[in-house]
Amino acid sequence: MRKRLDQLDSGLSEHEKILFARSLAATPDERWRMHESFLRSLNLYTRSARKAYGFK
Amino acid sequence: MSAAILQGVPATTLDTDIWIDLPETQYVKVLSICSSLGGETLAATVVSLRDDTLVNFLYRIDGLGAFKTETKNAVRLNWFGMKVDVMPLESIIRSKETVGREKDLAHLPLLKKRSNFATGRKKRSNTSLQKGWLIPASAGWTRPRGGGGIRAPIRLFLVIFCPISGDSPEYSFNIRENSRVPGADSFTDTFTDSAAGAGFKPTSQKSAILVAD
Repeated sequence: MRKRLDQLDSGLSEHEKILFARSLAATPDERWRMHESFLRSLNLYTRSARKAYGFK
Repeated sequence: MSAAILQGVPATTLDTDIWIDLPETQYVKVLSICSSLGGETLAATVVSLRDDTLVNFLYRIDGLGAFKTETKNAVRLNWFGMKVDVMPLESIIRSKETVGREKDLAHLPLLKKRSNFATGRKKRSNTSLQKGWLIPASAGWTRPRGGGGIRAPIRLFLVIFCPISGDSPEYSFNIRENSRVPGADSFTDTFTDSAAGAGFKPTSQKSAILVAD
């Protein structure tokens, strides 16, 4: 997969390639959990928590 | 963007858009169903579910064809034990290009790279990913490098087409109301029951189509 990513677009940084590789290798369930984990890590998962950052 | 996330685009979303195959004039019916499920109506098309999940109901999406047409192109995925028909990336891209808001355009590089990867096309892009955007684009699931904090968070969302009446193929919701609780009742079942009680034609297939707006 790394080779395919390299071939696909050299404009991707290493960091971005890793993100893509993780995402492509994951199942839909795993992708969704990663997405949720990311929001939780920033305390943006719930609407009430997001209000603290100015979200409506 | 939820549909894109499920298809491997490294992005996040803050709310869920559900495209319902009903005339927009009937939005009150949908809101009343959500209200009966314990949701809080925030606007004519926006509801906060019991678990604080934001849902935005849509009745059309710019740049895409009719509901029936789009559902035919759906990609079926297995998501938390449910079969979900997901809008293909090409349709998501088309919609975002049509809408053309800043946040839509910010997603295009990611969506196109993922789409190109799926088709195996080798394409050299001059457009780097949108560095510095917290939630979309390059940030993906990690914090932005350099400790930049929260900058210009963008609302991204998922859309589920939900034909629940008329001659359309019958689908039901597939959003889990609280995916954090293993085994929790899905929003699908609850909504389907409530929809039937509200006079909608009950659905027979537990599937839906997800598209990112």
